[in-house]
Amino acid sequence: MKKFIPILLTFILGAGSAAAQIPNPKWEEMTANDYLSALKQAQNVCVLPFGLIEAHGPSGPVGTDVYTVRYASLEAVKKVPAVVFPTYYFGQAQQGATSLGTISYSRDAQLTMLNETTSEMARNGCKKIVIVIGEDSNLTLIRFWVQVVLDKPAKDYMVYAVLPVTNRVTAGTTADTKWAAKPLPAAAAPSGPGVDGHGGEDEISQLMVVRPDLAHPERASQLSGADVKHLDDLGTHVSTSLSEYGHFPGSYSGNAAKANAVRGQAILQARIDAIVDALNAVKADTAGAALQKQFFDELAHPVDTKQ
Amino acid sequence: MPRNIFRAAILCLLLGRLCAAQTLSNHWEELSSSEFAKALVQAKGTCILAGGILEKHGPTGPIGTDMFNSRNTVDLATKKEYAIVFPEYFVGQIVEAQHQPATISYSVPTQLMMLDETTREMARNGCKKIVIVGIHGRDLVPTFVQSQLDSPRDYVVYTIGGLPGEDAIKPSKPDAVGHGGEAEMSRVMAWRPELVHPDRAGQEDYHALGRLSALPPYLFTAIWWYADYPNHYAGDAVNATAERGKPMVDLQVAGLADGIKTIKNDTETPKLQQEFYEKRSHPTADSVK
Repeated sequence: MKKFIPILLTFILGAGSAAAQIPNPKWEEMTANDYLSALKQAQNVCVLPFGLIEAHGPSGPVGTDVYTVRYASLEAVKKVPAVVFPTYYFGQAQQGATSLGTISYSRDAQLTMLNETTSEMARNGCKKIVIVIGEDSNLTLIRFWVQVVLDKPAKDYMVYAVLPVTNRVTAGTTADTKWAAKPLPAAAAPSGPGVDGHGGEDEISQLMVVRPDLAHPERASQLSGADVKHLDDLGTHVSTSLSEYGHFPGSYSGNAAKANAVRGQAILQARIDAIVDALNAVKADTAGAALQKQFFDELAHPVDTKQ
Repeated sequence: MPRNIFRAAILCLLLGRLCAAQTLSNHWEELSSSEFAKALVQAKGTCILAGGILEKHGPTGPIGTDMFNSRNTVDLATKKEYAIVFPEYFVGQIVEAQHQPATISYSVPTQLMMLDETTREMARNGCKKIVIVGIHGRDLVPTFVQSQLDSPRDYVVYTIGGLPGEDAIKPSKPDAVGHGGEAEMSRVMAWRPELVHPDRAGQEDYHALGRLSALPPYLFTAIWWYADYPNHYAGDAVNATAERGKPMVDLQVAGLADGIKTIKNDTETPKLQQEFYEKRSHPTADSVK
């Protein structure tokens, strides 16, 4: 029963919080005083929606990921109050750097920006930082980086990552079996096999909800999103930095011709629900911070750690 | 067909290419890859890095005030004189406001690294003329722009500053001028009035405390701003209005559009820059002459 008390409390408190939304949760749009009130209401939980500026085939703009991840995050914090950091696009986009409009920062810049942004958020009272991953290609970067938060120096804040709910597997990538996303509803199902992917039906469908003026499914056939299979000889268990480029050199995989807002809304709702669940869990979590503190204490004196 | 639409249709038929070009967004993140190629042609390879900062703006204004003002001006200017505007950017210099809530202060190496990587990425995407506007830190951008001569590159970085605007409209009272004050807030109100609260302007003190007034004015030290304005607020915003802000914005937009046009037509700077890089590799050759 003890285990359930914090969860029950969160739901009770969470229900109260939902009734009292933060009037405007966007960091950059608050005054300094508004920020202090928002932070209190958010129980020191802040969200960092993590997107990219990269080519999205013939149907979507280069800001597609930024638009959808910010939309999902901002919708979620209407239900569970949290402060939302400004537009962030300093991620890993090397594989798409041959396509026009893609901004590809170096690995050093990606890691430095993650370090400094989260430490600045924490210095400003965000003691629980939730990174919402906007697309699959930064999954490994974010997981790697969240893991190394345990590096020195000791942190007085926690970092959590919300993994993509779709867990999409396209050619050239390997299935990640470490976490199982909830099954998506029927309305979120693709119109056929192979239509989903980068700039494909699933992504453009979501864009049609968020920024319909920027989505062009009618242009989907201007470029092929088919797998060119240049690296098939490597098999499914070997990967290299060129795995994605070797299969989809045009930063486009799938086919967005049948993208539609109904499907987009279903996928987005699943993403929003996942973020809501994650924020509730983060707010309820007291064990994580205690364990992290214990870890850092032991890290400083490993010879004293109980064996 | 209403008369205005008919006229527009005739104009489009006459100036077909121009009408097609005008449909391109001026925002980098709103363009698809194929649209981006067309946008580069229309912009003559000119792109704008319009930045700001995340810092307190007194009790009246939002944390993103500088970013909003800079991007609004640039958005309007590039609708007059087309150029591609890079996404929101807030990695500037703001160490002096770190003691205030919600200020995001990146380290100096990061500020310079991000400027360098961002401009290089812009150039790799075909932006051979990059214009930096509004990134915070009085001396950061000039320092960065000057350092472009340190190694050869195939693009030119410009900055536009000192435009008429805030000082062109007489303030309502002498102590209304300053950070978080009337002019800055009026400019935000011209665009996003819901984010500004002039009714809160009196909640904090904005007067200079003069705690380092014993130092001569030609002596510069890092803590000078904090010494005067620990509240990070330096001008009364109580009389800020959208009506006051609108002519300031218009003046800045006109000046910026002129500057962008000049840069688009500039052929001399890229030529001189290449000449400099070549001579830089062989400094003794020049001294022999």
